[in-house]
Amino acid sequence: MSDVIIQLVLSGILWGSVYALIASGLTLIYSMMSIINFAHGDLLMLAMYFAFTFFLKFNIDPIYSFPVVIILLGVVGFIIYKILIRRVIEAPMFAQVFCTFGLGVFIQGLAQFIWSPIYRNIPTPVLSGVWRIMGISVSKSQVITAIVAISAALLTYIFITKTKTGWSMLAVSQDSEAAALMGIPVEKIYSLTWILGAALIGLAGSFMMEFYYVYPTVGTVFSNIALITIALGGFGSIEGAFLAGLIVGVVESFSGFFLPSMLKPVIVFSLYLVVITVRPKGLLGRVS
Amino acid sequence: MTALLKLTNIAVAYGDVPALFDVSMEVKSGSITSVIGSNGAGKSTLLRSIVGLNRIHHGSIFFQSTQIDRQKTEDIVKSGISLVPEGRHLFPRLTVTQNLIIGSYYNKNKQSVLDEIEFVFQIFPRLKERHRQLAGTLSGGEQQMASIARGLMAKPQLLIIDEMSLGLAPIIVEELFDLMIKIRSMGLTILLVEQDVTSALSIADYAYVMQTGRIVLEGASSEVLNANIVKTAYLGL
Amino acid sequence: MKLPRKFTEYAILIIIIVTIFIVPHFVSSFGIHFFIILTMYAIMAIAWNWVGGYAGQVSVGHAVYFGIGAYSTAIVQEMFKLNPWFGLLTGVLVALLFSLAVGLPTLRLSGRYFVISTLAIGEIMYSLVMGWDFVGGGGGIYIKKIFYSFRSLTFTNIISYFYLIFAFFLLSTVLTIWLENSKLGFYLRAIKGDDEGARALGVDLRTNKQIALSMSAMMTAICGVFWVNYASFIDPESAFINTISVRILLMAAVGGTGTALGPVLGALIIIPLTESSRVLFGSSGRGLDLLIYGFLIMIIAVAQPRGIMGLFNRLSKPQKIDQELIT
Repeated sequence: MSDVIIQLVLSGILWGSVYALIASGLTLIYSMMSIINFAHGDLLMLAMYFAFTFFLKFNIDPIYSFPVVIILLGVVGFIIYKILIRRVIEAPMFAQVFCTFGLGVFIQGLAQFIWSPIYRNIPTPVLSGVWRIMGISVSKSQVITAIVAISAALLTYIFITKTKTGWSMLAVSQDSEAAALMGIPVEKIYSLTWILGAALIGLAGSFMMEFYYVYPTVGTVFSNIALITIALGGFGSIEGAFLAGLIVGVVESFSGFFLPSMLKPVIVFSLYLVVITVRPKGLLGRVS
Repeated sequence: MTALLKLTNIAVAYGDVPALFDVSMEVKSGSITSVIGSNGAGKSTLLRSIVGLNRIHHGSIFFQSTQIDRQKTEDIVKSGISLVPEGRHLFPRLTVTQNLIIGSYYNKNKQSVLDEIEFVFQIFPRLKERHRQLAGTLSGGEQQMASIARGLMAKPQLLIIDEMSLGLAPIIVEELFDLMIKIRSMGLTILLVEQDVTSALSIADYAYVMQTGRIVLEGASSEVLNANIVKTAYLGL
Repeated sequence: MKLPRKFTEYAILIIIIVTIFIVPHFVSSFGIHFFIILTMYAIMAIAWNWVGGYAGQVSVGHAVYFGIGAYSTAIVQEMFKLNPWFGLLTGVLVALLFSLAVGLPTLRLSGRYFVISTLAIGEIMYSLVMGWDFVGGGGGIYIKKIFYSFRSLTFTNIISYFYLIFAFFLLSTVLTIWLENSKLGFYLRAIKGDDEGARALGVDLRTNKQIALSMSAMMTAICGVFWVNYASFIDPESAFINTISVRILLMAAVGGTGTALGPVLGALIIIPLTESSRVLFGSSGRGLDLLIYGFLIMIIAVAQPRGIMGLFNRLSKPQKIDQELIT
């Protein structure tokens, strides 16, 4: 029995670190400009399609094409900020919600137009097979993905808390007008935030293509989980999002084992409702 | 003395509501200039316009004979104007030192930033004691000091301070006004916007009085202090 | 000062309502079907607006109430063979109870946590019904129509269904106008404008928000009840899927939240758009309908973040001062 539990915890953490990576991009954008990006999962879907296309057209595996996918997603993030988000940054929160919903629908339409609604995956990923250690088996691709995800989230965290540019981002997030008075180019910091947030998604999407399939609405599933994750961790808390990502992964893994898989989302989303009832600002949210 | 900052006939409106009408003023190099007026007279709007947070609809603003009224805030700050905003506006969840470093955003030379921090710590020794504390946990007076220190970190030529004395104990206000004279002696030009009329006029060389978006009186501060309009409206004499 | 603007708004609303009533008499049965969908969604947008617009509690999972209404009545009618009117009563009651259960923990949350809660509840209900074999799981429930009469809420004539849903449309409009001019509406605006301020004035925040939420839930559930009896079929995809929630939200958003006319205008824009682009482009499977739909939403968000009503306000009162800019 303890083997099963270790196995479940491990696979939960593997998935959880992916959730944490996806959520870290979302929470970064939220904490900088208080915009909940409902199209976040659709950016993930786009990244997965990019990785898939590199494989399809040039036979390049995602573990080699990911730097390009990251750059491409960064560019997409930059364009989204410049064309769309910049114009709704002063708008009521509600307009921001429906604006990013619209963006998500648009990206889904685009994906369906370009890649058709068929489920796609990479039949022969480089990272295939499993490792067996003391009776516990883990898929190689998921272990590598988890390591990449945790490193990327850590690097982002270090960048924000230890560098001057990171502090400028924190300054903008805490008081954008005062930041402008310090000579910080607030617009550029916002652009950087979107580039960074989308690039993190690019990384997640690339590696997920090693073991997951892609279709135009795949993002919705991950959007919802990412939204739950950042709310569970406490809006604006980067550490909280990371922690919550791991928790969601483990909870999902256990409920998937003990309950019909149909009920997996029920447990995960109920977890949020239970936590939020006890802690209305999430796990690590600031009570202001 | 030459004019460091020169505003000519500027007008500002929020939507359709005019906030400033035809305001002209000068801040002479090396001076302490004061703008006084009651709440809602347009003082903050004036300052926001100088640093490009509001766009002016009419007129022009020159700083060191460069026109700045179409420039971005970051470029205006870069060219040598620091605004210490009303209500301090520190970054509450950064430490005092981090706040100061952010204040020197454009200074890419690490050593010179550290020197500058040492320098402002000399002016405000109390900040040195608190340098690892989160700015949001400082007392009101300390926050005001940190905010001024942060403004100095950009090594500005013109330091603008909006409502420095607001909400502070009289003894701290006095201390801060004394510091203004000290800072001026280091070669900075200071533009003070104040509701504490007596204190402001006691240290200023020149003063402007604003009412409902207009400048209604200007002159050497001793003259302004004795003007009837100031006596009745602000000093209650 | 305020009366003329509201007067124009109500006048336009009445003109639209009369038009919606008249036109179906001159179109094909497919056209009537379209008007039924339009009217039903307009009701849901209006109901969403009570809680999302006036009370400022943005729900991104409002389909749950539609689904609850639909499933409650389907269970009562199909499993227990009871009269559809009893189904209607059950649907409304279950929605009321559910909204109380939801409101109790979530209405004390601040805005964004509330938004995510509605999302979570939507996902939970979808998955639960999907996995609940008693109600057919993913297969859904078919309703056998036996009698065709007003007494059993089923008609041979499609226009009768239109009259039925139109009656509920009228009811929801009357309720909105009542809400706007009642003490409740005043409190909700106060809460939305300034939570703390309203509390200081002694306004009971949660009770007032709860009333708005429950009203909204019941009205949305009525649409679900109607839909089951009209379409004779319900499954998780057509009841609880979040595209319904998104569509409800978008109608109110595009039209303008917190106004009587806004949600109706939003329905007039969104429903023809989604229905026609689906008919024109949807069958190609190439996603053109989504492209157009998403693009227009973004355009409106950028150009009119307060919805069409924002434009309306500007036109009707050009001298109006934007108070938010000054403070």
